[in-house]
Amino acid sequence: MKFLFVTIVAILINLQMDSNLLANEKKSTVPSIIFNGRIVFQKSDDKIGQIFVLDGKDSKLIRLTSVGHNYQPKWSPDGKNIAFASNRKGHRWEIYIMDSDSKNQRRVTYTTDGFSTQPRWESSGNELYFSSNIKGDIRENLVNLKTGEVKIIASTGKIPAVKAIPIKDIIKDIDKIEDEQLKKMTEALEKETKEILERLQGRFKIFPSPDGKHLLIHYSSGKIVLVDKKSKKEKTLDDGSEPAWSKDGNKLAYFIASDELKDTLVVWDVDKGIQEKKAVPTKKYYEECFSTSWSRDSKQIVYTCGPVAGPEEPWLYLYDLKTKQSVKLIQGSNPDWY
Amino acid sequence: MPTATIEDILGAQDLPSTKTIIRQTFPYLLGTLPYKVVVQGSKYSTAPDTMRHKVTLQISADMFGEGGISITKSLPELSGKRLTLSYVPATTSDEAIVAQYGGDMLNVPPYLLNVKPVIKIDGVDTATGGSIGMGTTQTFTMNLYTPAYGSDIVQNNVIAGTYSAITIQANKTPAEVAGARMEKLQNNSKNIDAVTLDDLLGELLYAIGISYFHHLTFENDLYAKTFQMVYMKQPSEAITTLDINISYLFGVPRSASQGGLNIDVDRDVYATSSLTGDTNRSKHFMNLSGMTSSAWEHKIFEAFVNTPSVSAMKLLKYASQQGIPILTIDSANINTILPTLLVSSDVKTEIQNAINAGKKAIVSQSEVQYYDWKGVGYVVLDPITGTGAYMISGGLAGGGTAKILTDPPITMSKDSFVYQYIKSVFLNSVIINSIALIGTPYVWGGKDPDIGLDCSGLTKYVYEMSNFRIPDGAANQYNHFKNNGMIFQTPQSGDLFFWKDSNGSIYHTGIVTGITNSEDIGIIDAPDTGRVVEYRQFPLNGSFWQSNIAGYGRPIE
Repeated sequence: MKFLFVTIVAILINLQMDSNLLANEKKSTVPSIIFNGRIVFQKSDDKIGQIFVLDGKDSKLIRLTSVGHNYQPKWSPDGKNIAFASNRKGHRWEIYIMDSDSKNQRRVTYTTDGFSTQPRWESSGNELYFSSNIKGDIRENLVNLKTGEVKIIASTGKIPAVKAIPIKDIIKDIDKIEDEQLKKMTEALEKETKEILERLQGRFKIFPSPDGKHLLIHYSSGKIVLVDKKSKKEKTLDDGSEPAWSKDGNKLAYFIASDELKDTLVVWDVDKGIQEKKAVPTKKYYEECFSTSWSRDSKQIVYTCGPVAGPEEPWLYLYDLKTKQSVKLIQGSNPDWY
Repeated sequence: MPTATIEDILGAQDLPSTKTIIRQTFPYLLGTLPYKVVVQGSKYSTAPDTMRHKVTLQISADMFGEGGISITKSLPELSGKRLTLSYVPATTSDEAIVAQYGGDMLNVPPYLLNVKPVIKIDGVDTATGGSIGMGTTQTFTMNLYTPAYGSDIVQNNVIAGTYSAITIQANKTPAEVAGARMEKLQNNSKNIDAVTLDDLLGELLYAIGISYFHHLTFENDLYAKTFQMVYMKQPSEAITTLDINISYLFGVPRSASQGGLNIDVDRDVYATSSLTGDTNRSKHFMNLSGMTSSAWEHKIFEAFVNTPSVSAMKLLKYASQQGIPILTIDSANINTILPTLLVSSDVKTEIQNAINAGKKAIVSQSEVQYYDWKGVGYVVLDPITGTGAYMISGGLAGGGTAKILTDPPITMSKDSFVYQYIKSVFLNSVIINSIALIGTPYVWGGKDPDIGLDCSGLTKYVYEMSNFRIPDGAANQYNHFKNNGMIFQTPQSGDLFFWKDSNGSIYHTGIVTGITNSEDIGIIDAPDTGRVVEYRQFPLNGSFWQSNIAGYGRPIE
């Protein structure tokens, strides 16, 4: 199915921030920054993540969820639905879908002995990629939204059962075991641990291009590999954060860590190679930038930057590829632009 | 002492006399005494119950109505006696489970074990409660009844599995009494196979309480002489406890470990009088006595168990040494100062309540980290009488040891097969337990993997699953490793890494999985809001890693 793209609309960015409006996000309107389209993102409400949508036309901020914890929203290719991860009604994290106006919230995954997060739409809009963790077996899955069938694309494999290790008991009984037997037990454990780690390093997530022509494979080591679906050719790009496709499938963006004070936004043209690197200065102490999403006209990118491991909520920033300027938008994370 | 004089009892025998009996001579024999009877009380053949000093001890029942105890004894029945509250396996099945785990209740996963509270007087079971789960919190209430003032109720939480001695002091504690108790403790410890746990641990805890009160007696007698005062000790009490720490999973107590020692002195009461009639001397005496009693709440543990310990006075002094301002708060400045305090909301509420009641408070502006203990010491003073409450965070009117009494480090040879095996078990456990959490969303302050984790919530959960207990918070975890000599500068699999900011403050932690290709360090961490627990790699010698890394915590070197 082909996408119908809207014509390019001039994006107006008012670089003059209205600090009063920014400081009072509970109002229905927030920053005086005008952009085309709507950005859905997660935002903490008393430490509980909820999903909001910010309309670039009138800066109207609408809260979409209120039950449980709700993270990682992603627009469907047609903009009618939003997939997200939710922890509610006593179950662990599962994938949900809702209409764009928050109605009809329905559960998609039922993960036995584990949990599922990080939904990503397949280009047709009929399937969703997501990650699951089944007692340490980390899987990349594809669920058919019509049939509910789940395909396991990749799996790191089963690992021994999670349990508390009775070290005191081991110490107590250890004298009864011969040295040779202990040596073998140690070697077996070391081999098992090594294999588990190797499988973990080979784990990946899939990011399909909106035009259906490419796949991006993002390995847990950070390595990003571009795959041409037709020719099966692979091209290794960088070690970076999770990549995001432009809506036309021609470009992609991600962050690489360059030094302790800067992250660098990398924009790739699929055909031409690296197009641009943009260092994003941070302040106070180390911040990390991640989670990018493109405007429909491929002229702007929204991304998240926030301090590592602190109480402070990260911020969303808009980066304009033409002016090469970033502007602070609103506190939140994991934006997805439609 | 049958021949005691009034001066002996009041302790005023060494003070210069201030009253003289003047002899009067009458020319005739008086028919009555020259006094008028104003009121005459009732006559009793024996002292009525309401005129007796009594102590009631109560343990609350749990939510199922189980485990409760209530006993009442007269004060003479308890004073000078070793009174202990402890827990024993509830049934023969529970005893069998404890035996399976090597005879130590703390080795048994608490959810498998039921215990029952026992109150002993001088080692004899006096009251036994019903069965409750190990690690359950109960309320321990003491009602000290005096005929003159009625009931004074002291209430504390007690965790099933702890061991406490309650020292009830009816009067002063002279050196002979404290000495006799120490001698008893020494004799019991020489006879370790023939005596009970209560004779050892109960006696130790009781001896600490008696020794504490003896030190107060000695110093208060000195102050009384200095200020030309007399004072009488009213019935007072101290609870000395060997704590346990319980970790919970989904509300179920999952594992227990030995905690520290603490003393909680909720009632230490004096009746004072100045021999010169100067009421200010009473106030000075009470001020000095209060500071002394607080100081002994840490010194008593440093003396007995040679472990760094805390009390309100120690913490205020330590805060001052660290450059943290010590603030005096009253009704005139509370609105300005209280919002600036970097202390828990519970402490702020207590200070607010005290000021509302016309008292003043002394507190450091922020909490301090003293070994494994983090919190604040504060004093609530009555400006009229000089009496005070010397508190530490957690609502304890006392003090305690400041180091977590963890398992002793493994000292076997690092080359031994046993050592290598244990190390591989630990590493395997840490890796498995952390991989099972990959994908869990970051929630600041999160400790429940079903909902979300922050960086230190992840490391604490994983390490506790692997049977190593560490405190909350990245900085506390770093300090715990550092204070125990377990911070290293080169990483190994299974370590916790710690990142520092430009000021050297610890702000992030996670688990080291290993070094790949001799150049990249693999970690599993919960980075920040909007992200999930994930595996990541960084160039080990890159500028980012090298400028951020503060060190690696390693429980098994």
